[in-house]
Amino acid sequence: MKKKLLALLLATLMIVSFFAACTNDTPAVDTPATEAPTVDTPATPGADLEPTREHVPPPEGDWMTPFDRPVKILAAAEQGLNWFFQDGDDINNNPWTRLYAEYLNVHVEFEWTTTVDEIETRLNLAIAAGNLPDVFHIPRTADPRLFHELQSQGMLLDLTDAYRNYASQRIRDHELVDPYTIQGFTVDGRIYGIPRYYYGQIDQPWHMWFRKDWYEAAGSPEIRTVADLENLMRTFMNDFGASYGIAVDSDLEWLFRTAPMFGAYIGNIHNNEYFWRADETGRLRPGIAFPEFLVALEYWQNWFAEGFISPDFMTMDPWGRGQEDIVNGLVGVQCWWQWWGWANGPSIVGLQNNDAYFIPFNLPTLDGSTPARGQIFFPNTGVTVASANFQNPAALMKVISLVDHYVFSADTPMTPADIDYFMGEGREHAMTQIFQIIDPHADLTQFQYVLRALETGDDSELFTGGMMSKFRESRAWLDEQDPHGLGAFLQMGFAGSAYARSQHLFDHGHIVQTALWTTSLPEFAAAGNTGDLIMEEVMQIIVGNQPVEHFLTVLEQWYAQGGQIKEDAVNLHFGG
Amino acid sequence: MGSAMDAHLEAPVRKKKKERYFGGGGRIIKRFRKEWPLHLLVLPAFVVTLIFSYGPMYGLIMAFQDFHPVRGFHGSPWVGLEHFRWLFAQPAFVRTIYNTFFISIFKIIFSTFASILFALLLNEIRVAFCKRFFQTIVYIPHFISWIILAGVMQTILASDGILNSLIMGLGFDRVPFLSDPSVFPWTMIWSDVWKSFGFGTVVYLAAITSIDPQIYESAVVDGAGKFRQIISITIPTMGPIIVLMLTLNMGNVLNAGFDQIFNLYSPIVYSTGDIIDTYLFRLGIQGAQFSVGAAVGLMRAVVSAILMSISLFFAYKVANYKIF
Amino acid sequence: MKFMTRGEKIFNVFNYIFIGLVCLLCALPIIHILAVSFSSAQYVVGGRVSFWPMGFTIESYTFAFRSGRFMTAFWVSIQRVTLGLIVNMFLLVTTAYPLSKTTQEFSARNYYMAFFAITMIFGGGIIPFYILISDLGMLDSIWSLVIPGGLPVFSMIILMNFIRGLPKELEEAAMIDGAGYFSVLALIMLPVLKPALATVALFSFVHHWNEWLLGMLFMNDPSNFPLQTYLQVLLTNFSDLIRAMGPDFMQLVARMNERSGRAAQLFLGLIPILVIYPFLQKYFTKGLVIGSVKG
Repeated sequence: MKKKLLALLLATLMIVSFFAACTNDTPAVDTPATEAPTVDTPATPGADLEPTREHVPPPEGDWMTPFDRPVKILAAAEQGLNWFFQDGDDINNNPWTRLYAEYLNVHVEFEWTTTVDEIETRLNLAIAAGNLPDVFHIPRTADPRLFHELQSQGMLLDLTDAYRNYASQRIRDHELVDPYTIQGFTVDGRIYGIPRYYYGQIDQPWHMWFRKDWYEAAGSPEIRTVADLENLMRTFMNDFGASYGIAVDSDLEWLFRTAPMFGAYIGNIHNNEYFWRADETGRLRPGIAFPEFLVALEYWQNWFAEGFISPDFMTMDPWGRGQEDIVNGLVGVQCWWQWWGWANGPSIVGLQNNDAYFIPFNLPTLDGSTPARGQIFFPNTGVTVASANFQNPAALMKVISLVDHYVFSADTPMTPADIDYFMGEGREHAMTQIFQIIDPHADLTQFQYVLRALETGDDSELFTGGMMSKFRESRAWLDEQDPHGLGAFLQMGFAGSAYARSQHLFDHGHIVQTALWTTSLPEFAAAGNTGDLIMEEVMQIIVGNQPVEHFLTVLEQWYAQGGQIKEDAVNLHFGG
Repeated sequence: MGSAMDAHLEAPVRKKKKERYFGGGGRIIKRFRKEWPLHLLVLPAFVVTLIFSYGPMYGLIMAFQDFHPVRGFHGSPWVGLEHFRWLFAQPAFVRTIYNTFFISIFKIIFSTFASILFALLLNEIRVAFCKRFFQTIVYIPHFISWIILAGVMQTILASDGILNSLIMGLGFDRVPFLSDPSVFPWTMIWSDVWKSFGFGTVVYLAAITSIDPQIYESAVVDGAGKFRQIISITIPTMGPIIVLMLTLNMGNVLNAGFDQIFNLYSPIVYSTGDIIDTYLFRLGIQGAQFSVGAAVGLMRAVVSAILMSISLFFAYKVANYKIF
Repeated sequence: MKFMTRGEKIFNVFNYIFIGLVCLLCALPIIHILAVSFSSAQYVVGGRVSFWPMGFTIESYTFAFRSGRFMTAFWVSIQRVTLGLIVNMFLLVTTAYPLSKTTQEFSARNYYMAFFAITMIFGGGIIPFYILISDLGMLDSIWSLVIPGGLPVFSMIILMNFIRGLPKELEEAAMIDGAGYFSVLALIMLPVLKPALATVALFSFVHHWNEWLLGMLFMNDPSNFPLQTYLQVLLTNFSDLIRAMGPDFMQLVARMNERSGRAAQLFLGLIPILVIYPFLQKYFTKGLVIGSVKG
């Protein structure tokens, strides 16, 4: 009997290990990934060879010259699950990877991909385990120490020569537009990371959005002063059934972005981001330390008392309930980004009427002489770096240049079908990932071209995927009232669009820029989360539990609890 | 006749055991000859636990380093108790300890009570289909993410939401469920009880059903009514498992429910609603805080260990239950 | 229970009503999710869907099945749960039984117990864990999700206490007949442990079905994500995305805000949990099999 049981036990063990063996042989999900891309174009020389990670001498000539022997780049990146590849394609085999192979003989393979949320954790784990991919991206939100730690420990490749010799002129010209960003990734004159830049500063100013049908029914009053704005909110509440005046979210971001009306520039405190500028002595200080902030607090406290701010604002998740009230017609004023139309357009048109969408205006000011200034933060979206073991930095530069050429350059001959193939549905974001260096002029150029094309009706000059789709979407709204076109239309499709309003601010110098021209400083880590205190106490002041003067005490606490560290660090790195 | 979860009395034989182990070598061999099948049975779990649970435990040293993954465990500088000192110097952190205990302990008490009560009531339902159906329904909320539930709750609990309309209809003042620091922790507590009690009934129901039916039968013969049976048979026999579950919950007492609070709180209720985990999360916005996280983790583990030991000790001394 | 007293009858009626009400309260979220999953996007964004679909559509479901990702993740989860249950149940039984012995019967028992109990509380954190998994070459393998948590200590203690609560006579009688530990475990213990095994099996099932973080950290390719990891991505907070990618990317991901789509996938992800529970609960109601004590 005992033997029988022992046999039984052993059998169970064997079954378990058999399972183990089986599943090891056939991985859970098959990834037809790594094989060389099969494209029915004439093979580039050597495309039938195995790609190599050994050093391959880069060819002379410009960035367009392909490698003689195939080169492999093992990369890592974040991947949104909702990006759709065409049938049979995946992150390792798609129009873009095929393009790199065809055009440059560079074979890109993603060693791992993870989600935006987990990319930093995953990166840290890979670093700790000592298996860095050849090429990866350090996101803008990552620990500010990460880049410098990697660099100082000799784990990053010096990209200077490759950048100078093999990156396209277009890429290197970004330095002319914005010389400071790449300096953040330069150590002792050597470049260790290529910044990804951003779509343009025109994206940044926030606008005061008013519900169009109500605004027009109220006689389209000009909103130049804060008092005008208050009157408009009152009209919306009294005559059009709004429950309250202005949308405020639990992060207070929508409210803090109205601060320029009072001459205060606060930042995104819930993310621990401050807006830094010089006071009269020249010392750099955060917006909350300027007296104008007290004026703003005074107004906001009154707004809450008068019912302009919802009594439930602290539960208004910016992507949940906050949005619900807007599309349900409970409020007609919101301070927001330029892409309002994408976030709320289809819903509000679907639930209310075709004229219920919001339209953007510049923020008023106390005296009404000029519009409030637009706030500009450091906009870089991250940095692409290579592991010190990586053998072919020239290949990286060539791929980066190729992507830029296809996505942003005016002299890429692309048919609408090509554009769709490479960039439809935002495909270029999903697939080019870490190889995309964004043109800092992209959105400004796009805005100018699209607006002109909409005015003339001639779309022949549009040359990027972004331009084509924004044009098409705007037309869809204008011609067919397709609410999915509202995003593009409100952003850039008419003379009163968000970008047109921003352009006005830039043209007249109504712009103010934060002094902290980097995402974060290494010293900040020691300061802790200083934003917590401000968020909590400002809410108490807004709801009237504390008087406005209470903020002076809070500010002292803020300096004592890490604020001083931050201010000193900012002055050390960026002070006069 | 034994009943489920019967407490086992063991003579405390510490001295003898020591002698048995470290005494004559012959004894060990002799014992091993008798006990080897038991050792063999434990072996696979022992190996798995040794490799995957004890293997990574050196990570605890992170709490005493200024750890950065780039430098690794070898290269990161030692800072001693600096992280603990720093944490306790933060006033916003100190209050989270109190909040965490408060919310967590009341959650444990109320959901245990609700689970037991529900298991008892459910056990009185004789129609097997209904019993299974009801039990399945109440355990569903456990599986629904707080991200989803939070949206629904914010709507229901708003100042003009369903619940407040009901409360005001009954002639009471509206309750600021999510925006008043004195109300917020209780909102967290009862909503968590609602979400989790159904899942908690699983163990209690299994314990009740494994009580020998003959005991009830003889009680009925003695003329005991339904209520009497519950008081003098069901509850006492469930005693050990209740104590067991409470003790095991002590290991979790410093997890007051990150997902729930993170999705429902706001700065205005930080004073009573901010817990250790939400505080750490916001700290992480400033940049990954590996060592601070590890320091809190270690502290949490030590507190849990102490609390569990205390409840083990009391269970043994007061009620004679030996849990481990 | 043929003869119910009047009091018992009244109690029964109230009991049904009370339990019914509690169940209704608990069913609300799932009804809400169902309603959302069958509703059109604008009603969902407007927060107008409570417990009945508005603008009825089944697009969310066709979307879930068409995208392929959902089905792939579902399949990964099934594999994980199956393997996880096998490993868990094997280790649980082989550990709980010896540890249910007294120190007289099994002298090293307390040492083993402490060895396992400590792991309930102390852990080294994710970084050394990842390094270990990486060094063992288990990254991107489903085994990294199954083996490391092979012995759920919490369940083991519950099971062990169930075994201790069993009548001693069961085992003693078999031992006198010359049966060893293995045969006692397999032939005597397993059958009478059904309610407890069903309980811990449920816990294991639920754990493996619901756990998402390890999937996110150990799988190299999102197409190897188990279902809950995949769903977690769908639930990602928008504010995190903005923080990570910058607001200018958002216009492109605004389409992700398809709450009806994720509600449908959440509901589909719940189905196995809803199916498995009544199935396991069948074993709860059996109770102790008295007849197995040898007369």
